[in-house]
Amino acid sequence: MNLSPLIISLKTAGLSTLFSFFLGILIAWGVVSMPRRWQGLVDGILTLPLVLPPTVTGFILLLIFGKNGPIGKFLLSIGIKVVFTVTGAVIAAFVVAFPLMYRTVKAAFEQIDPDLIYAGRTLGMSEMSIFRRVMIPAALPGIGAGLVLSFARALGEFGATLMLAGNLPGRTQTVSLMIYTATAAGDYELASKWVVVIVAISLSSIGLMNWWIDRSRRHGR
Amino acid sequence: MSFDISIKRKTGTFSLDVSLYSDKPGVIGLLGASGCGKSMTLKCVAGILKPDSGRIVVNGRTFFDSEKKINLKPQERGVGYLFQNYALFPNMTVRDNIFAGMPKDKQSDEVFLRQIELFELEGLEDRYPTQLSGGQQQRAALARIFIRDPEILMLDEPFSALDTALRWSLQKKISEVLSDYKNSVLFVSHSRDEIYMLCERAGVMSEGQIVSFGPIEKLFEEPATRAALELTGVRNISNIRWTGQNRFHAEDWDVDLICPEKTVCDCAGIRAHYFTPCGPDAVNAIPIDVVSVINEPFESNVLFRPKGRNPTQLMCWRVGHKHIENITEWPDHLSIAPENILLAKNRQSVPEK
Repeated sequence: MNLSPLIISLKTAGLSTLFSFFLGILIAWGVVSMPRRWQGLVDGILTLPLVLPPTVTGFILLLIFGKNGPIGKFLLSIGIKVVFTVTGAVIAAFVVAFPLMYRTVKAAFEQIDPDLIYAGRTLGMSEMSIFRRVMIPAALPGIGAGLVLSFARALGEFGATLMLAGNLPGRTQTVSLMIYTATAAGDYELASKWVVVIVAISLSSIGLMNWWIDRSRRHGR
Repeated sequence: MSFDISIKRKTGTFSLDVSLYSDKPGVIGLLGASGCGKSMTLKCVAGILKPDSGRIVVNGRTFFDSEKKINLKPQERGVGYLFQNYALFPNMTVRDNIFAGMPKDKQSDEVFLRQIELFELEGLEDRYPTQLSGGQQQRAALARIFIRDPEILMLDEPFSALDTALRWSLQKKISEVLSDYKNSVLFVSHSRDEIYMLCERAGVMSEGQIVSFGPIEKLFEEPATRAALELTGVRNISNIRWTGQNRFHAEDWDVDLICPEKTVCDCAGIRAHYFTPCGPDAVNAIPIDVVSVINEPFESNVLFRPKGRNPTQLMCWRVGHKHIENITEWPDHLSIAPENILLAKNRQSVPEK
């Protein structure tokens, strides 16, 4: 069995989850700190990829990152090709996985007793120190949950990836795309093998998430 | 050890409009029902909320001045704020909580140990807040505040989350600590007992305004407004109509009473335990019909109406069980001494500005 779909899947899901992790936490912090009247608008824009059909997201990404698109043109000029490359697969997975990380972390931040943050301020802690030492520890279970959700979503990403990165065996064909291709070709045996792989990875990430939440509850008290 | 606060802030239900001034140390109380704006006042002083306009000056330092466009960050104000639920950081030990936000070079063991000793936290330094009792949590929160030697101390309903026995021991602790504290203290509570116990001066707040302010004894002896009557625990309050130089008709009780002299007041209050049983000819004798009795462990609240009258509100007589022989037999008449009638105004006269 050719393992390239698994490697491509883990690479795209891993990288996009990594970006979602840092950006999701930082942007969630930015959004909960901004005035209420702006929150709704920004929140709507950031959540959009979660509710749009993946093909629509992929289509919009194609317009932006295509060789005539505003960003695609620029990237091409510095030698980065997005369409039909693994870079495209990472971007597609990131765009659909990011809202899950962002929303979960934002909800966790909103759950924090505001008095804790006020107390930090009156005690002279800088906003950065409040973020690091009060908000992040309190939001740890949420951060873990967001991480697993966005990884699972990135791993299962299909529509937007197909639109932006295509389905090129050995280059952009992820496990999800592989399962589709094998099924379409009538090779149920191959498809089943990959289904087992995906289910195993998904189950272990849920296990990992539960372990994390449990652990941070115990330590965070 | 002085402060001068004069702030306005609009909210959904009322407009906060507070002026408070003090030039000596001591505890100043704000007594008010929940949602009257007392916590909001403290949060404005701490810099957690921003007033719409006004000035906040503490110990000569301007925290906020809407005209001069000054608005110090909470971090720069150096105030001590004890939150209702103490706001200890759950992921930090007592030691880390106490040192949180302090520059490393100021984190001296000597000062730390003094706080640990003062607040009786020996042996608890490495515990997490959830491993502490409610009382220990509050003492840890106080140690965290006092180690910084705050410019002004603000206590926001500090006892409301504690059970009765613990509350008493912490009230003693706080009053002990406050007696050594050289700066001003603002203490906010909805409990008149706590205010009376801890404050030298206090104000009564209602709908965002301070409706009465003065030395604590005076506030309780002569509440000037209906809100002050209610908050200092007067159970009988009625609108009045003057019928003579020293007599009035209490409209809500449908009864005529004599008081020392006529004033501009338009309501009257009678503390429930100021009634005394009497004969029919005594001054202000009211023939009574007992309607119901609410018993407490050591006292009874006797709800009654003047005999044959039609009041809109029942009157309440509060009597200790040791003063009566049988808590089922009630007297025919109760009287109230004219000097014990508290006269007040329904609305505060508009403060001159």
